Amino acid sequence: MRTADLEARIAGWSRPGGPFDPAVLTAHDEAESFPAEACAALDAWGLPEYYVPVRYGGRQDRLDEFLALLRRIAARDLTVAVAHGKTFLGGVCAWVAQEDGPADLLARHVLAGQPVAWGLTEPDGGSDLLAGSLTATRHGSGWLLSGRKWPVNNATRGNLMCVLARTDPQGGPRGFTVFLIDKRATPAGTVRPLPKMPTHGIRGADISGVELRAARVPAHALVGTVGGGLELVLKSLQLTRIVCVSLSLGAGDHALGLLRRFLGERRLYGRDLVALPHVRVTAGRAVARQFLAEAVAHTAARAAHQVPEELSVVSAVAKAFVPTLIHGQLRLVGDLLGARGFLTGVEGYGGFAKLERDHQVVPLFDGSTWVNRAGLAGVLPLLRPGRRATAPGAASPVRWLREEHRPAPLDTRRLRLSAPRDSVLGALPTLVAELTGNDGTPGAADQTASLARALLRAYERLGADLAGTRPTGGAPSTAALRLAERYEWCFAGAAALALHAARPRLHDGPWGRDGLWLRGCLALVLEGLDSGPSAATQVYDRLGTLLGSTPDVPVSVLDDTAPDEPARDGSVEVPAA
Amino acid sequence: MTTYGFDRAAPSEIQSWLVERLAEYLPDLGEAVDPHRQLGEYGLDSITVVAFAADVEEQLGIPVDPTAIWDYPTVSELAGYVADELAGRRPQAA
Repeated sequence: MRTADLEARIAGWSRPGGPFDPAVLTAHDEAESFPAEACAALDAWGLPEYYVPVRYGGRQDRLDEFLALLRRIAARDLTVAVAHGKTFLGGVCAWVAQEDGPADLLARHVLAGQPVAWGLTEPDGGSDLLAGSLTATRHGSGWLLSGRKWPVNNATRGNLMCVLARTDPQGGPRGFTVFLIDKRATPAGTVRPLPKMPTHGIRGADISGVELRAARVPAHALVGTVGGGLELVLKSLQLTRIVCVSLSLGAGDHALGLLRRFLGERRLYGRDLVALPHVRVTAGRAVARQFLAEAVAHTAARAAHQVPEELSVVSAVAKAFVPTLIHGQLRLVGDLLGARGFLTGVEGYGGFAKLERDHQVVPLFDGSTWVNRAGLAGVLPLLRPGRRATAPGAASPVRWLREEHRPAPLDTRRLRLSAPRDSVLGALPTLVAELTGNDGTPGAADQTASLARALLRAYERLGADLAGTRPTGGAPSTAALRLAERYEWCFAGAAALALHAARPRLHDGPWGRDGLWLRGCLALVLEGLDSGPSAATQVYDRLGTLLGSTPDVPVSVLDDTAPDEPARDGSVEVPAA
Repeated sequence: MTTYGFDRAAPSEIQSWLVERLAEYLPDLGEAVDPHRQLGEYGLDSITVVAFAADVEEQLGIPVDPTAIWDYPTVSELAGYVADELAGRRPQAA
């Protein structure tokens, strides 16, 4: 992996006068101007190659690596990660459509450094894709497009844009089609940018729009099939929702870095700050949130390769859960930083206020938290425990979360709009049963096992509460949304247990000894399920103490800077769908 | 054990059953669902379509991806599709 290389480069670019110099990026933020220097540096490094799958000449062959790269950028500046990473979103429809679209053409443009935008939303349309009114009508061998897409990231800078257009005046789920527009190839005066919108966060990003007036596009602009647009977009969103959570992971890294520095510098009442129990426990909660977010994000990224037919659920969980979890983490860190989290001119800490503002857009991207949670709520009865046979052993997350496992190539043909099962949460009973008692000292192992059993009981209660429900459409009730939220917490707990079972390395080191990181995750999950364990405070206290006392140890359970290694477990085959 | 209560070999009964199911998603409709009318005309949003497919799948015990509903966009056409699916499979044990 080149994650370590990118991280080292960005560290160099962050020196005074460099493209990632915080002063330069802050100045862009204040002026609401695009962080062009930082994006140019990423272009020069070769980041665009990671937006293009290997089969089209790029370097993207595993989402976990791609998430790790974007996370490193987001950890320095979220606006830059959003501004540059958007090209992945712009191109994804073409990759998902495979040979039914201009993937080769688009790949050449992206590899040449062209930004690409993704035009889905329209004024007054909200998140309902079926409400889109931008139309495409046949014209000779090509098409004429008319209407507006707004607000769209990169809409003005991007010469290329994938848009969802209404091709059947009646609309409906087979009434929309995706087109790839190259603005430079459209007749003059038919494409007009809409002004950049002032925003609360990511102020430098190109959040604008586009207006098309009978803009002529050629036949080869068609992405996928006529009428296949909604399906294509919904499947593409399953991938982009997982990628989006890397922005939250990076925001969490940034915040924890600031907190760690603060813990090392700040003295209160003649003592180090970490001498205060409240500070340790709060800091420990923030750390546990980062680990749990990592477990969900990493599991989702691997799931994309191994169980793509389940991604409608996995991506909805990841996108609803992780940004919410990190939003809460930023509040905890902000509480501890006090005035330093609010003042913008304090050397070294001024970035927190910007980071907190920038992150507020992440829960909105690619379907808001509500949209994802509501979609999950609608199908929860199908996912209730015991309804379906659990996945075969080959699909167990423990197998495909192993460090040395090389993910199978992403097969977008296996994506579905509704998941036949959930292999991650379905594995929970087995994961709890197989927790060994020899993880660390007997007392710690007993505590871990006790927390895991409590999670299993909470999951069984969720199953019982789901037994009487049926799938629903429209706006879900508050009660149904709460069931979905409980499902997310249970999924997150299962992901953490699976990661623990898959990676012996995580049973050691400062965070892993005695299963500490896992107990932090399980304590959080149980609190989220209204079953907060009495041991939680003690676990957070230890995590917070470690944050302050081990300044050189990364706050991560993912060693994604390790050099890539060939698969040693022979598990490169794709399990049967 | 499946939960439907009709003759699965009779498309007309499947159609009646689908009409009843769909009506539950349209509480403000104020009239009977027309089996020959496009489902999109009833204003189902994309989440509702996914949920309705999930509902049919749940009740009949056969896989029904939302795209099946899109490709058979009236109750009448969907009933034909479902009848074929049911005829091609044995009732599934849950």
